[in-house]
Amino acid sequence: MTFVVCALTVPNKPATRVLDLAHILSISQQQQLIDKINSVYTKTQGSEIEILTINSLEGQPIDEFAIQTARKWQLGQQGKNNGILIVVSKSDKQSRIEIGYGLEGVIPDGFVGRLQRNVLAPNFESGNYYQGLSLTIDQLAQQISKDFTPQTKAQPQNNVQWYWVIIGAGIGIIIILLFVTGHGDIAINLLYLLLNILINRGNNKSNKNDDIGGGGGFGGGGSSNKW
Amino acid sequence: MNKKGFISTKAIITLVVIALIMIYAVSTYNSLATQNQGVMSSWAQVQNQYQRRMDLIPNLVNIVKGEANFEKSTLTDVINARAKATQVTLSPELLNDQAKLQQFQQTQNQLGSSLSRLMVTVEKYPDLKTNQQFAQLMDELAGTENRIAVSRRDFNNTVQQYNSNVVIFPRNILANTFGFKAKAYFQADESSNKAPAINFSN
Repeated sequence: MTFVVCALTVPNKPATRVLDLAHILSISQQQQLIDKINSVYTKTQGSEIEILTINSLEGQPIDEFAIQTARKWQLGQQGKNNGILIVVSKSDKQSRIEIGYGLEGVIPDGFVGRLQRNVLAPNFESGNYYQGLSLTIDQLAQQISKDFTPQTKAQPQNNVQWYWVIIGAGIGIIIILLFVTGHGDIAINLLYLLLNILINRGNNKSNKNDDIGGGGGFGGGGSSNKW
Repeated sequence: MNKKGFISTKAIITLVVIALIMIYAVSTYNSLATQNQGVMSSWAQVQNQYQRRMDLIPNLVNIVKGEANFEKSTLTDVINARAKATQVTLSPELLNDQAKLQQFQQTQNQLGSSLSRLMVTVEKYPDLKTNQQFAQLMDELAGTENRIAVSRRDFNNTVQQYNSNVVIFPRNILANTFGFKAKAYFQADESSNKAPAINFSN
């Protein structure tokens, strides 16, 4: 059994829409892209596009790196999963456009593949990173607004369970009774055990929700390309 | 301490112990049941993606068939592998059977490798490569291969979480009592994790 070993650490989510770690965009170009992405966000009921440029993938497949990043950044809105991540690795000459669950219907892989070959690659080949990204966002936005029906993926339910309330109340009464009847030592032991159980439950919970996240529903849709 | 007091202490301790065991059992059962559901739904996702690949193949076969003198053997390989793969299904109740999962994985891998062989062969046919419909189909296939890889990873991760709960003491006692069994993993195989790549640039 093997599990994903992440050689390349996923950067933290930037405050803006563009994280240009490869330094292939000027400040004003970044600002223009940010403005464009923000206007897409308002026009398409919150479809969230992010751009990440890196120098090298350090041997990691771009598909893996892209989905790890998209999930960690929790792109898109909760329940709508309408996030898009564009990853560009400069020295590998690779790009990937990762499409969230909710947009897979509107933006099929075939569309993204064409976009990569006809828009991104030719521009990147001649070093026009800004142009390629800007046109790509235009086309993505156009495609999203064509038919905007975000799909939702079932999220695990997290109801408050009534029997926990009853059990908790029961234990509370027993503890109080123990104190009242002069069995304080037992009561304290009981409290201690109870605390342990609660802490364990908390640990399980946090593990479980690690990679599900608020938005961030990505299942590997999109397309990768080399230029 | 008089006799009456002693008895009541004993009774209280017994009560407390029973209550604690019950709480622990309920909590364990719930977390196992939730994780079990997680495994089931990630398995459903795996099957969806494999199914998606199988659904794309007839279209692929039709386009490639139209190409004159296309190598028949690669095409029949794909068709046969697909036929085989449709026969081997695995219901979620049998997920604890490593041999069954391996069999499922094997037939799907055969399909995957026959597909990659087909894609290598396609390189020799320039007409196909300029065919827009074919290019789109290739994108969909590549995307599906990636989705398969992602769903398999997700499945293994949920199984790992579930299994660690089933196997580790003292939860394993309760897991046994409730009938939760450890589940099988997908084995890593380099060939099937890579999406077949095809170069359309020339």
